[in-house]
Amino acid sequence: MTSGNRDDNETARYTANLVDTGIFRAIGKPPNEQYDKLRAAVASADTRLHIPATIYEELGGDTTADAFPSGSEYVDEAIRDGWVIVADHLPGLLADDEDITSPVERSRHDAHRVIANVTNHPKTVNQWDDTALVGLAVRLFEQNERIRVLVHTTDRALSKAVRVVVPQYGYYEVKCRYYPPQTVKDQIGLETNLAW
Amino acid sequence: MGTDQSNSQTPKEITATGAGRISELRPVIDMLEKPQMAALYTVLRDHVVTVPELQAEVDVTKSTVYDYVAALQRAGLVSEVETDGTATKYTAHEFVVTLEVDGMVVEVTPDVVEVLSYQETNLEIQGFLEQYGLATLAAFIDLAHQHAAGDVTTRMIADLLDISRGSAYDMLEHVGRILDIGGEPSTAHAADIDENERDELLER
Repeated sequence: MTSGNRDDNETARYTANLVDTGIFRAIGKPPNEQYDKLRAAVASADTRLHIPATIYEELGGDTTADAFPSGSEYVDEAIRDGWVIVADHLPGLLADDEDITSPVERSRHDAHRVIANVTNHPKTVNQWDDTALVGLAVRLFEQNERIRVLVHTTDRALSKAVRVVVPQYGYYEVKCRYYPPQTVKDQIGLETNLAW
Repeated sequence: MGTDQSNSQTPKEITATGAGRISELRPVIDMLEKPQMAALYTVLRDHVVTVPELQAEVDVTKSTVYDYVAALQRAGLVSEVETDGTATKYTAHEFVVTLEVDGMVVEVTPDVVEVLSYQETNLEIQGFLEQYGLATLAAFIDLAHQHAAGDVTTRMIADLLDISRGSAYDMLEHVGRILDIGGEPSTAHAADIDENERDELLER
């Protein structure tokens, strides 16, 4: 065969969809209509939904069990079917704020600061887990050259944190879609929401 | 329907504001326990209507509608509107009543009344009320408005109120739908953030 001269531009960038807990909570446990629509939309947009390990745990998932997936009635089926991917635990602890060189870890501390500034809530109630989507976005960019990231969240402040922090690391191909929680059911199954 | 057992905590201290109108507190307390009365107040808050029109919206007898309207009128929460000689129409007034219940301060607002009108029909609201109580529900409703404005995250709400994150996510959906807060979904590109704003938000 004499292929191999495919134009680079034809190699479409992969759009990774990062999804926050509130989206899956609003869709509810399968089987249900919204879940089916989301699965179909993911397939036709030719994408996958990526979640940090902490979000998997928030959805009931057990990351310490021998069997995987295990424990989440919201996403285990989708994980087994291959359209939801749980990322390995992200590095970084709230306590360590000095001499951090890993971009993923640094981005989480940046996000923590931005969330505190955006929300005007002291860092004492600022949840470290709120930084996970930022860390995962930076990690996906670090690991993949041809990628775009689309983040879906029901928290306005987190949408802002992603958009402020991720470009600090040189990655501008990031969009965030904010959903008022009661709009998720009607919106999330739309293929256009999952495509760049 | 119509049982009055829920939220039967006894308020100890009461303060009220309602443009200086509130003249009797019992009907305010009654609304916390009677979902149909809460629903009736909510209809009058959004519309100027007659008693038959009210009855069409609220699932109680005509005489109960009259009783509720009279009680809310006595309290200063509802007034008659000038009409052109046809059936009398009514409207509701905004108010804030602060109660102290079991050492916790509860701000009773029209939004709290509206959410409580679903306490027997919405399982999520009912379960939350049973598990966490009225004071936490009222505080949650206030935080739901802050959340819609982006001033607090869901995980922070769970932390602030000591409720489960799952409850916080689920309740934001229900309260958001009932009160219609949060606007429409929107998509924003990272490159559109102003550099000055970016620097400010990254400051310690």
